[in-house]
Amino acid sequence: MEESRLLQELKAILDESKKRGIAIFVIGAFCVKAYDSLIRESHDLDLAVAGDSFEKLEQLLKDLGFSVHPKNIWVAAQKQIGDEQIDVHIAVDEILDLNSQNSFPVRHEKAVLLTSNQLGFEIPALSLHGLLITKLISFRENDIIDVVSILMAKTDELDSQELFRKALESNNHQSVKRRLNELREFFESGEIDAIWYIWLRRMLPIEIKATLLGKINKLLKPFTD
Amino acid sequence: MIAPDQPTAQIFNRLKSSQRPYVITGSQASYRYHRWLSPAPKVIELRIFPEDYEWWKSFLQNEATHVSDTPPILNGTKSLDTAILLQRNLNTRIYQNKQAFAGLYYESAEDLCLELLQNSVAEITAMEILAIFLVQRQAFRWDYFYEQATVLSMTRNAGILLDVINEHTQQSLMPQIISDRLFSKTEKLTTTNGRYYPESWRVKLALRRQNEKDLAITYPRTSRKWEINVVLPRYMMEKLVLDLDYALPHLSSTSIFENKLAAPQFVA
Repeated sequence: MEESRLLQELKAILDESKKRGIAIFVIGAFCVKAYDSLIRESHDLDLAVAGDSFEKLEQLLKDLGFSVHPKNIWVAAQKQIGDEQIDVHIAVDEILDLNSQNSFPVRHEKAVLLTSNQLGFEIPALSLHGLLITKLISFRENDIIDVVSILMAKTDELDSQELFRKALESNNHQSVKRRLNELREFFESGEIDAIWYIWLRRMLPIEIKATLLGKINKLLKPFTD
Repeated sequence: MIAPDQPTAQIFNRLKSSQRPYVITGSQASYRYHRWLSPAPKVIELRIFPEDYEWWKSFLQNEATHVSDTPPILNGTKSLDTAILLQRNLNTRIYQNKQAFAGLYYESAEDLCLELLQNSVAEITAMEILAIFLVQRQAFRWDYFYEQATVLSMTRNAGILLDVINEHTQQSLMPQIISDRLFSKTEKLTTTNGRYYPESWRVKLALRRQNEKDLAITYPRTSRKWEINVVLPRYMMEKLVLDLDYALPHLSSTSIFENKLAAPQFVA
């Protein structure tokens, strides 16, 4: 599925949800993209919605031609266009990581409306710190790539106290602390180079790695004080 | 199917007019076979004969494209340069096995899986091989794969991945006879202590931190058979299964798990 087609569908969903007054969040790769920070390719459309709005979103998706099916930890909405299929994953109430079982409740978030260069229209995104927490608690290889690219693109906007506050509020402070420590270890051991190369076939410059390591240490500070 | 971005499409057009042998490898080739994980952005990897390196460099080079046998350095997140990575390791066998799609030559699925098995221990690489096995299982030349895995001493890792699919799905989606033949060609390990598959960054980290949870065996039957602690996260396999189940129905008239009778073809 071409990205422009996916974006067209995303825009239709967002326009309609605005008309019907349904508060939804764009999460995952497209949320990273909304912050102009996505380096890797992704064609996953991921949304989150509060539980009491899910029925309205389900109806909206059906009205737009999607079939909606509950899956393991999310709801999947599918739409066939010609011989291609659009898939949307929807997290209801909380963004849950299948591995760690950590979750980020969406009730702690107020949508940030972003008009990104990478997307071209307004997106109701998670807050920058909320997004970083969802990526840190999942911490699969693609999440590590996203965390590093967010750190690179948004160094000045990331605030250690705000990250700590949000992590504490969502009861993720221990897992965020652990993941930041692990990330620091990847930079110190050079393992980040291998992960980066496998996903992007590119190298991280030494000076950028040094800057990022400094930023990780700063973000960790409130968690260790 | 993701359409290539414009610079990549231009390079593909250039490749179509080339006079020297090549095969597309790496993430572009993987994507061609599994249509699951998006390829690395704006990077095309080519296997070429070693003596053709300078010719390819001059043929593909332009101001907007990095052409080299070393990967480009990332200079920021705003925009990525297009890069062509030339691997000087094409040989006659791999070239003869190439697959043609839309006027381009790709490394065969079997050779690509063997290369992935040899060159990386990342979890995602194992998942890419599993995705190719699952999606291509009907067309995959299992006998050739078995022969080459034996020649390249990759029988253990190849067999583990076949058995992981069958253990996870509790179905014989992968040919048991190939797994058994691979097993018969695999040397017994003197000790299983401290042997893990895959030896990923997660395992290395867990070993350093003595974190037992991340070193827990995830596929016990496969681990026992191959005498190694298989620690490939089950949630990754679960995600792959879910993704392929509903994201790729066009590859089969029914989902891969409903299509239980679609046994892979191989010569016994």
